[in-house]
Amino acid sequence: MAVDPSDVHDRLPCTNSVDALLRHLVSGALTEHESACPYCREQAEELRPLVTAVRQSDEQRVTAPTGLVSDVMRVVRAERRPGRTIVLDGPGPGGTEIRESAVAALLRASVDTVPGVVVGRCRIEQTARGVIIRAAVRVALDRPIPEATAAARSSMRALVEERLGLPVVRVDLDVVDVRDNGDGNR
Amino acid sequence: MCTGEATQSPTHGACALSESVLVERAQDGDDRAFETLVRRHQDTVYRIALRILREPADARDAAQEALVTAWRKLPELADTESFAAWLNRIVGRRALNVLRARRPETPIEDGERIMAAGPGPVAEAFAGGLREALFEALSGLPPPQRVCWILREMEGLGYEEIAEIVDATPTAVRGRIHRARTHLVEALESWR
Repeated sequence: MAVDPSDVHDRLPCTNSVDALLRHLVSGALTEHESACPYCREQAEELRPLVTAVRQSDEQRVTAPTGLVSDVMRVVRAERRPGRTIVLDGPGPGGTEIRESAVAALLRASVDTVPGVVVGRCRIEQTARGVIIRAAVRVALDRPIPEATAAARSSMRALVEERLGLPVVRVDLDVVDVRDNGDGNR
Repeated sequence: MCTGEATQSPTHGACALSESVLVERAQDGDDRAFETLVRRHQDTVYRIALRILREPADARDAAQEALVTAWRKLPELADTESFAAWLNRIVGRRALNVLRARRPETPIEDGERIMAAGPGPVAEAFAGGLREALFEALSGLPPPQRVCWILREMEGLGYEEIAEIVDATPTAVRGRIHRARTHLVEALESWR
């Protein structure tokens, strides 16, 4: 890395940076150089009260006040994001629409019964021929991917057909990650 | 809170889900996924606000606004793995704005602190005293210096990240941290 002129005043004669030294003093992990170097040791002595003060602040556990989560969620739920809706078939008069986010939640829940598959992003598009589902999934390392995605696909398809009464054109799954036990989910 | 929930129905087992799955779901408008994220990160968000602002009521407001802003801006977050760092930037920026809008000094604080010191074991009073002295010294710094120093030395953020929060170059951030440290070392001189 090029020498940054602004950095010079932050360097000790041994070229170690004071900021790095301070961080190591706070964490208690001095480098071999820092433990032996007279410049570093002299600087460390000067920094001692600051190091103690920072450590003490770290020890003081700060917990968010009760009610913060509910206050945040009240605002969040009051201003749901605008989203698409899916129109359901059925005898009138009157029509039924369901929000895309609600369908996505149902679809994710339907895959909860499939071991080793977790659904993240999930989009639903309604076309004249039926519904198109696109979802990002994570599959457990020990599961054959075609088998896992086939099971997820059939759960999602069944949900849309049985619960919403709509035909499914296709279910596109994007396997974004393969990891230990899916997602630590079960 | 998470351990209890994990045993419930699978749909509510969101606690065991990875951060990026929750972020993706929240981006899609799933408010329950977002609630899990809020529960996971609320202590850190509040701590950053409190360290910068010192007033619990102000810190609570800043934390709440930061979390609501996060919900609104979440669809813009491209890298779902970096949610925590992104959230820290939002609360850091929010707290800095509050700090800038404040009057230069809040004199009531001094009286409160003297009373809060109260009786107690000498060592504890000494320890609390040093910690208080640090925050006292920090309040004497200009807001951007104070924020840069807290985010670097207490929250462990990188120069680049801080630069984005305070809207300056990483070089300027390094300069501010250096000036802040010089001031703090002088202010704590009597504790050596």
